[in-house]
Amino acid sequence: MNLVKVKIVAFGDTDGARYADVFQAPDGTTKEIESTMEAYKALGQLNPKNPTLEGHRWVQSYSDHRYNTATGRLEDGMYSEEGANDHYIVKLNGTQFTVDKKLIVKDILDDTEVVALLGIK
Amino acid sequence: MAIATDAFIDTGSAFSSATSKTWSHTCTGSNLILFEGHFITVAADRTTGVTYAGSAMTRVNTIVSTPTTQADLWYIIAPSTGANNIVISFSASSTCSAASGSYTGAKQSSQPDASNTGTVVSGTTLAVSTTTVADNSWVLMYVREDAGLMTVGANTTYRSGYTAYGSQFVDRNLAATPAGSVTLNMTLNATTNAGGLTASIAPFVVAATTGPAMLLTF
Repeated sequence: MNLVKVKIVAFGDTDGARYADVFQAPDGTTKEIESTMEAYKALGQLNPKNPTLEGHRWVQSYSDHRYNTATGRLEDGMYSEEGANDHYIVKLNGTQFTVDKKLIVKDILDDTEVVALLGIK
Repeated sequence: MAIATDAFIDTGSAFSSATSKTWSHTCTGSNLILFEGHFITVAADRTTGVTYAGSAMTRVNTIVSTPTTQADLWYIIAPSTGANNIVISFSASSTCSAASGSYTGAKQSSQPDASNTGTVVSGTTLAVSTTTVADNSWVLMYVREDAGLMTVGANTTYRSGYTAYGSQFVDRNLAATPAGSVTLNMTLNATTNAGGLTASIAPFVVAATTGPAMLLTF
């Protein structure tokens, strides 16, 4: 499988990283709204004021790396180094995986490895 | 005071990659204990901490349950009551599913009463035994399997879980008396890999009081 290599421009839990609030509608669909580091950090304190969105239920919030992509996210078919770690982060079918660096050669991840990764639910 | 369930939350439907993850858990009642369980889709210990309402939780156990995932169970005694948030932090961006469960009527020190872990590789069932110490303890388990859609087996009660991603909170739904071995059982969705982390909760016991001495005169 051919992949596109991208870069992290801000690591998770640092200023400039990506912070998001996740909400669920009554029909089960989810919606993400970008947040800020300040608002995210406040959620971890006693008696927090949790995010709200009309007609939705707040499910969770999270922080993650910001990438040099149009959305700031790692999208399907993309991979990236993660600092000095000895692995790549790769996103397939909406799920992020960690793979050994030797498994991606010239932007190609072997199809056998793709099948094995997607078998993890 | 008997142990009873308080609340169970699962974030599995929001399965996502993150360097930290936050969700709400409301604790209500007295003599509380709160547990948090999560797994990540990489066989490495990346969890750097878990907090509730800003207070650090303590790890019960961690397992690399399969060649590809890792699961954790954490707890805190006397968590703040009301709607507060659990925060998990990772050392690297990790795809994570998490859940939490609280109980009332728990002893407010020296928890967990006992704990254990169990794994199965290419199996269809998972059974994890825990030998309780205090009389009337409850045994719970956070369980993770690779194939998803597992179901509870004998003597095991489902509490929460996003089954599509194969993680659940279960317990015995019964005090173990006398203290001894308690086994929680899961039926797996397929021949697959799974792991469970158990903890037993010792009950809060009201200290016996001695009444004023009575002086009898004749």
